[in-house]
Amino acid sequence: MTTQVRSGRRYLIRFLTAAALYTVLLFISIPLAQRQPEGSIARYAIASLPVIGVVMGVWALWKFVGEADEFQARKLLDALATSLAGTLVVAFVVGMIQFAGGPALSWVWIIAVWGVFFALGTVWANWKYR
Amino acid sequence: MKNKLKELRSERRWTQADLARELDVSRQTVNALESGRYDPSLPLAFTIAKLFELRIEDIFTPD
Repeated sequence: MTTQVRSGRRYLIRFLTAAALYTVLLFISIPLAQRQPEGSIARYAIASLPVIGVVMGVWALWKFVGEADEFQARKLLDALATSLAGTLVVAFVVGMIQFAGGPALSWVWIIAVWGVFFALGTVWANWKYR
Repeated sequence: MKNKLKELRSERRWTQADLARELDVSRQTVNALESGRYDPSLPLAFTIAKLFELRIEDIFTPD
């Protein structure tokens, strides 16, 4: 097994673990936080638990950019650029709609929006260099 | 940019996986390089040239 195959597998394991951890913590933290007294530090700390998965995901991406060969890193950066552009546009449009009296959406959804654009960006980058 | 990677690899009867191992890159990277869909960085171009004991301009040429 080459260095590059190993780094690809490591990235996949790290990123999928981070995504799973985020999802599990999201479903656990919301009901747990609601049981804590309003305004308490414990309530805020428990509600913030899913950030552990987010930070781990960012770490997995960061490590892969450093470990992958230049072509694999280029594809990842293309996907990240796509996800950044898509998330910025959606966040701005939703913000402007809210400003104009539209329904208020939780910031929590920003990760899901980013995830959708990152997946689309990954598919696009693979297609572009297929 | 055009290149002679596929030709050079075939001369040595190497598979894409063999070349990938020699260059310490993924097989997809070799495939993208050979098909001209991805142009290598200067360090990778030097590594390729060294492997085939040629100059960069003997392997890579402008379109």
